[in-house]
This record gives sequence, structure tokens and C-alpha cells, in this order.
Amino acid sequence: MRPENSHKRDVIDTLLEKSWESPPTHLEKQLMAIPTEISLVPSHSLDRFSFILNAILILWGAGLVMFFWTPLAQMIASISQNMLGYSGISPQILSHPIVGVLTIICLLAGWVWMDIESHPRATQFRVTK
Amino acid sequence: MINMIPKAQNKAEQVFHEIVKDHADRIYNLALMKCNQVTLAEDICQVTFIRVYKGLHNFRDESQLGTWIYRIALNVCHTMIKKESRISLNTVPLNDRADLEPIEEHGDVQEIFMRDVQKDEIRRAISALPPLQSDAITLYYLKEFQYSEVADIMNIPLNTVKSHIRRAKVNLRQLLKEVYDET
Repeated sequence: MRPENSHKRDVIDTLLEKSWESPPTHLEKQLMAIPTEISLVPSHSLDRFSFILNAILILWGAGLVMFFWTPLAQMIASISQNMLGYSGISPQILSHPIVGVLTIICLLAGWVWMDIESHPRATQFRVTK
Repeated sequence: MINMIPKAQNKAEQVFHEIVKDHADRIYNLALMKCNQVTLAEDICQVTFIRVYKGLHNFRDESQLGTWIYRIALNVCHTMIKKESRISLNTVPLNDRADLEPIEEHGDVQEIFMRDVQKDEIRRAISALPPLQSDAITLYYLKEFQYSEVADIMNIPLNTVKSHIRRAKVNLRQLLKEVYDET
């Protein structure tokens, strides 16, 4: 807390103090209601049922990718070939400068996002709504 | 299901209510200073406290609570003002203030109106300042913070904060010359 007499008061201080506005009465009620609007439930490890469902989903997804891999790979390869000059499934793509720049931008953006507001690295609670 | 709700949540709600009581007025005024729009200031306040509530469970360093809350508030201010593009000096905020309840029921109407116009001019002047100056002077004006705390919230060096506040005051003197002469 700043002591009241820590700085010389001048006309600007007086004017700024005059601009203090009491918030509307409904605002505090709305703010107080936030916890009831947002319910937080503790995160818990996957139960057996969810684990089986997730496993089926992953296997199904993997199966789809494998089944459609040839046309998908051809599509990726031709798009990147046209845009970057390398086939998208070739190892050279990793050394392309645009891919490098995109990776660095993603890393930086992720780092900034994590840093803003001291975003927690591990969540204890999961927001359901 | 109710039994599954942890005690921590009830505790978080209590802490949150205390935070609202302690900081809602200041956050509202901070937002109002920055955007000069009552409805937008209310929205900023709500979004800020939603973020505070969501992040409260993971917040450990209680000594930094105030700094953390105001940093969120400033971020929300910047994002929402930019989004709404309402920072223009050409806005007419008095129309937006119809929902405000009168502070003094027995006050002279003309006096109250003049005071409102003055407040509006002051907030317009603050929102016309460069963002860093407006942030610094608003946080400092809120009287909760020392220079060092303003520096922490804004994440800039102490001397830069002092310089921003000094420049903001010089600019405000010019911008508010007419209001200043009337007082």
C-alpha cells in the first residue's frame, strides 16, 4: 500500500480523484455470482470405462489414417511440393526455412501465452463450463 | 454429485468473494479510466474476475495477489478495448451512462451534470494518453500501488514508470487545461 503522503498532491491528483466513479450496484452482484456460473470439478485420472472408450477411439482414428494413408500422403506431398518445393513427407521438409520459422513462431507464441498472467503449467482443476 | 464438489471450491469461492469486495471498485475504475465506457468497463470487470476465479486455484504466492489481479485487468482492458475499438475520443459516453444511479439524491442537478461532464473530460483525457502513460497514471492514481508495484504490474523498470507518470501528468495538464481552469 502506498502511504497517503508519499507524493505531493497537485491539481491533477485532485482532478483524478474527482473522476472516481462508484460502480453500479448490480455489478457486484454479478461478480459475486461468477463462482455459481462457472463450476469447477477436480480433475481425476481416467476411469476404466473412459480408458476403453478412448482406446477404441484412438485405434479407430489410427485405422482411418492407415486406410487413407496413400491418398492422404499423396495430397500432402503434392501440396507441399507446389508450395515449398519439397515433398511434405520427405525428410528435407524439416530443413526448409519456412518450416523452421513457423516452428519458432509457434514456440514463441506458446511461451508468451504460458507466461502471460503466470499461466499455470499443471492444472489442478478442470473448468467444465 | 454435490458431495463430490471439493471443499477447496467452497474455500475458493470465499476467497473470491473477498477479492471482489476488495478490488471490484478499483478494477471498475481502472477499466472506466481506460475505456471511458460504462458498459465496456462492466464487461472488462466481469471478464477480469472470471479469469481471476479460474486462475485462483493455481495461484500460490498470496503476496503477489494484487499485482496478479491488476495485471490480468490491464491485459483484459487492452484486449477488449482493442476488440471493441471504443477508445476513440469521438465517443459520447454520457449517453452510455443512463443506467448509472445518482450518487447524491439531494444534489443540485446542474452541479451533478457539470461534475459528470468534468469526470467525462478527465477520463477522455486519460484514454487519449499513450497506452503506457495511461496505464501507469491510472494504476498509480488508484492509490493502491507504489511506483515499484506499478512497475511489477506493467512489467517495466521502475524509472520508466516514474517517467511515464511524469509525462502523463504533463500531458494531462495540457489536455485538462479547460477543466483545470474551471476548478
